[in-house]
Amino acid sequence: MAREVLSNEELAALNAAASQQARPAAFWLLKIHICFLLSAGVGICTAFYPDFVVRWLLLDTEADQASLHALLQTRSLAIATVLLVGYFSYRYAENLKLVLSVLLSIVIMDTFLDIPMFYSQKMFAPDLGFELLIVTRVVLIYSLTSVLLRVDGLPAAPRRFFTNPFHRDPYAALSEPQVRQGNP
Amino acid sequence: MRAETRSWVRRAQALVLICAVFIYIILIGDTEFLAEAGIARVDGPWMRRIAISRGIFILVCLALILVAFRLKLYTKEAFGFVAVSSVVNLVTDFPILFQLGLEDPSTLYLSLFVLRLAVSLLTVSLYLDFDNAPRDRRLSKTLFAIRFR
Repeated sequence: MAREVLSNEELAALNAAASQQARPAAFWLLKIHICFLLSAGVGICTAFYPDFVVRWLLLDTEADQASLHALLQTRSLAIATVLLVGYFSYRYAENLKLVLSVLLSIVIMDTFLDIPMFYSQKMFAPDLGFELLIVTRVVLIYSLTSVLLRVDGLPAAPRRFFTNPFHRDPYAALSEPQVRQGNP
Repeated sequence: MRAETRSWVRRAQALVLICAVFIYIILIGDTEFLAEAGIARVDGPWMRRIAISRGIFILVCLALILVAFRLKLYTKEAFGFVAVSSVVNLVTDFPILFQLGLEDPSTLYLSLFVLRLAVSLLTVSLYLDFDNAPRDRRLSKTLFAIRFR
């Protein structure tokens, strides 16, 4: 039908425009889920098991315990705030790029500033857990950066969160009414 | 230079000046003077490490801003990063700030606290008002200039 209405040149121009359209990062919802899960895991540890965290970081002997516990408490509150802001921004925000940029800035800054604050002792006695923690940080930064770089290709708000993330484009697996509905 | 641009540059100059003050206090300042001022109760190595890392971070942020500004490379993004960092740091460092003297503050301690607040406000303001940044990015004509043409 379209071939009868449009000339070959017009079709070629349309195809070129469609191919240049922004596409989201592959497995973007999986990356977003990973960010949420990792952050929630760290937040739960710092909020409910601060003594374990302090002991595990080998800071139980030399550090100022009152300040350390206060810092961990503040950190868990900050993570909870970031999770809430992140969730509602992902679901409803039009300008997701700004929110993701702010979150990425916080993650990068905290990664560097946490080294002298929390990891100074652990760095000299690294174990598998510490290496996993570093990998966690790297994965978090990678996932956020990857989604941020192609944020223009994400679907419009409201976006679905609780859906199967194991697709390159999770929205492609949904039917049109489900996508428009935005809610599971 | 337009009035809005001049105002932007003056704020940027204030930011650079305040950062320089903090770098001096944290990394170079005389510890006896700081102790008298009630702002340097960082006796333990852990607290000292945190303070020094903050000083180095300010230094890195300042260098990032100056380089990005001069070379016109992702300048707005650099200001955005510094704005977010300073605001988040102010919030998350509050327990340490409180413990260091906010419960019994001296005048100098309070003024430094206000200066730290000013850093956050200035960086956010410079980021939001970035459209009024000067087009001529020579440091000698803008950030390090006393009089503007």
